[in-house]
Amino acid sequence: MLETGRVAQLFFLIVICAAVVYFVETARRGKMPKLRKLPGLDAVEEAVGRATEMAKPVVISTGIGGLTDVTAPQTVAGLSMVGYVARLCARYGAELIAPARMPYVIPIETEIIQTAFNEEGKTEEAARAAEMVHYLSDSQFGYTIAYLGILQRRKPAAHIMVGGYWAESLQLAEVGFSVKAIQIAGTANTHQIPFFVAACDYALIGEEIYAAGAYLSKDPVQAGSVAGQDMGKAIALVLIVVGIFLTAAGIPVLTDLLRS
Amino acid sequence: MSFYRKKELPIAITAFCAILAIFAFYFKVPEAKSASTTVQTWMLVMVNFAVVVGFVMVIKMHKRRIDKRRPGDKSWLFSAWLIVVLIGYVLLGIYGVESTRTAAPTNDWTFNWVYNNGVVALDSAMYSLLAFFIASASFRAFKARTKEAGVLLISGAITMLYNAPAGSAIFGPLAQNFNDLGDWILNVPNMAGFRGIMIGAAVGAISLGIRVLTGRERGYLGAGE
Repeated sequence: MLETGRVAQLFFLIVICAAVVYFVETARRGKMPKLRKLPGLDAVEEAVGRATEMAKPVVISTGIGGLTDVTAPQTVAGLSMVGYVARLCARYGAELIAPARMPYVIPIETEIIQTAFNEEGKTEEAARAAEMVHYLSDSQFGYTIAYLGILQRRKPAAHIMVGGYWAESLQLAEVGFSVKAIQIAGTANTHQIPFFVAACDYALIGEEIYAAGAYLSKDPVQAGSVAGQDMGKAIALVLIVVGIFLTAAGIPVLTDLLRS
Repeated sequence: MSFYRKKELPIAITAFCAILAIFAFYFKVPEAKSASTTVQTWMLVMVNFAVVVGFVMVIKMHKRRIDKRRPGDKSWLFSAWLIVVLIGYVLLGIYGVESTRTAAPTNDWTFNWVYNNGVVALDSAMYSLLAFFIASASFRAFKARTKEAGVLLISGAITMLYNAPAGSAIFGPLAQNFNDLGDWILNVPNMAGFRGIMIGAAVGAISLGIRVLTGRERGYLGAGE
């Protein structure tokens, strides 16, 4: 019935899901987990405020990943951030520019921005949501060069990047730095994280981008899911420590079990 | 608000597709695998239709830029050129399909020539710019202001020398020891850090997935709850 080699995977998926559901239910009953401070997310409002004061635009992108592959969670995390930033832009009256790489992300981003502006009572601007989303190119470097052009021409005061980024990450971050934008960037692509750390004012590392939605919404139930996430990490940690000792002792039980 | 724009329906579709894909991945049920493949094929078809949306948006955006051109500002010429190239390349693709009587324009010599000598060359040029950006970012990052930055500076310098032929030349008879140190930095502390981030990101993606499937995470559907 079960696929060979995926039994352990399924088991741990169920365990982590159960932990997340348990903490969500606990939070729903009123026991709010404490989330550690994420300066990168706290700085978003300040960045949008700065852009408003300087009468310069806010540029936000969700990376070059799509919604149909393994990078989809990163894009979803980025879209959550677009919703939050769009709402802040609507509230403060800042101009928003959202460059997009994947054509099918355009209607989603447009809808998100439109909803955000409508909810802030800016119906006139909401009607122009489609103009805020700039489809650039499906090609990675075609997108990059057009994005760099926007940064150079428009000189945004705030530049936010959350999603899946590859080789273009440093190019975007460096040009953002050169135009003196306050930069907040996050990705789960491990090879790009050092670039964001080096070139941006605030960096969200790996899992922090997935917690962004929960952190920003202040919703106790979403925060509960982040506590469940920590339980998953604790399980991984225990497996690593036990695995080190068993493997050192020449007992391959755990590795065999994980391969089952 | 009309029914199709409500958030419940998109959440239900997302949950159904995700549960189907997960079930088909873990269980040997041919019907589930077949249904999952069908859903994925639908998804690919829908995604490709979205290219038309992108095409129209690019044309509209650059047409607007041309319409709003100001005296003395020549940047509208780039927009005009982009529209010409975009439409020209689509026509070339159609010509390629027609001339070779195949489904792919890449079978056509002209289309391939333009792609290999235009798109590929421009892509490579853009990619190569990364080297200069790495240099400028490293210059800022490698400043030993704190202990942590000092460790980064030392390990970064060792890794750079380890990767460059200059490292072996500088260290002469000790080059092998130096290479071992470079290997150790890459494979032990660096790898440990990477794996920690990867485990955290994987668990975070599962947690986000559960929030999306249960409709708790609605940011991707619009900012509101």
